[in-house]
Amino acid sequence: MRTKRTAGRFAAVAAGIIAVASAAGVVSATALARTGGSHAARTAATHHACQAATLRLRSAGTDTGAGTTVLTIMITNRSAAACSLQGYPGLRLARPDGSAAPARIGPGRGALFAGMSPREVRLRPGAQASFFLVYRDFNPRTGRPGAPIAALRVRLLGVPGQFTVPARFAPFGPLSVSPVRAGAGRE
Amino acid sequence: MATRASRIGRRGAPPALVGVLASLILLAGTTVPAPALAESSGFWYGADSGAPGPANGSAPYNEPSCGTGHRYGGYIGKIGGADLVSSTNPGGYGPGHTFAWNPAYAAAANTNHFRFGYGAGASGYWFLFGPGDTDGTGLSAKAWGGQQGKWALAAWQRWYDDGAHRMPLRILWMDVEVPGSYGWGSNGAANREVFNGFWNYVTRADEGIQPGVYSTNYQWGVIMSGHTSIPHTWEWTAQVSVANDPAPCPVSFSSSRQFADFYGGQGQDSQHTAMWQWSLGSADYDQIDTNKPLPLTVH
Repeated sequence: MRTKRTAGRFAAVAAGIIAVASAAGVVSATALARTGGSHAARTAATHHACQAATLRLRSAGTDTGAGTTVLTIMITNRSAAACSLQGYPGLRLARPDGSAAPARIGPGRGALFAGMSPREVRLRPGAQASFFLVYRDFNPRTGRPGAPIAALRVRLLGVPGQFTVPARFAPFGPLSVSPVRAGAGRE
Repeated sequence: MATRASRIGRRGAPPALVGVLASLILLAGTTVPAPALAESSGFWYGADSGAPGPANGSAPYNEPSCGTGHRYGGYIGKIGGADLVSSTNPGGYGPGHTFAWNPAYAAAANTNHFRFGYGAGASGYWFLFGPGDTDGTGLSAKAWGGQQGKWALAAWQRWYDDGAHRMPLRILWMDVEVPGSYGWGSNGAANREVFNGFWNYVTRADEGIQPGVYSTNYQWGVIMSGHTSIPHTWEWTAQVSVANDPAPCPVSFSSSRQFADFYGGQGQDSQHTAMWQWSLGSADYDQIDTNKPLPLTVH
């Protein structure tokens, strides 16, 4: 219910703003021109890396409390074969006009990220993985939310291309990200 | 100090000189007053939601910031929220469903409160949705507020579990934030009706729990546009002046470098301004003014 509601919210934004996103609010698996070369180069041949076209990324919703929000992104393997993901996602924020928004995004630390370390996540056909972002909702000095964001641009280690995930939020200050983990559970 | 005395001794300083120096140090120790702790004037440091927890692993528990000597004086977590409502969690219950409720931190704050008389203990907040997102209930604004109040109070009592988990700071906070999101549209009157519905439900339930609000001066003004006055509601502000990372840590709601920016017609000295939140690094901290007539359970 919560997921559906969130996806609905994002859908309106996605329609006019994120050119590569589908109307259903799911990620575009369109591999953009850049191939994430360094990531791809580090992908060991021993891993059967996931292919961008077979992955679906979408927001699984937010959990907000006292000025801090956790935004979870769900990854689904839509292929008939198992594949692997690993490491931290590469993230950029996109404004409503599609331009890149400056942001400081780094690996999360502290209690919320305790016990999380980058490791290989094996995805069977239809299985899900996820990662999450943590950010402040507003500037404590002014009480105002940050600049509006309309989408996340996501790169996954070893997966060529970039995903665009519609996500309407307004973070302030640095953002913390988790590594990719198995399952689509909440943080 | 012991190290210095030993070094002087090795160099062969006359015993009389050592004695004079020791006397001067002792004299200085007696004439320079120790810095007053915020707790001494009733302002207790605490934390909320996902972090931080206490600095130490055994009672009494200490605050992990603002220098030494500060007790872990309170914890306020997400007891539930409209954003947690789902088919598997129809009442939006928080514990076990959110990053923003940590039972260990709540227990530490309660131990300090009940066993040692430090601070205010645990309390909870509900993440409130505005009239534009009613979790599919289709309720009117006021009824939607009442429904959320009902869920919130039920979540509080579910966690309390006839005293299994105590909640001595008996203020049920409404977390109101982000204009334009979470159902908060531009109709201030309708937004206020949600608040009123929640407030009325919790108050009329007569369970010894009083309603409060967490917000910022700016956001409260925008969301409740034209309907902001709340002179009889407990307030917890997240808006501070001057610095996000105050140094030194504040010892009250106001100092020369920063102050808590309350809202709804109340100020720092108003009877119902209870707490403020600020950030230090990546963690949020809070301070609770126990000089105010807080609804506290002490036994």
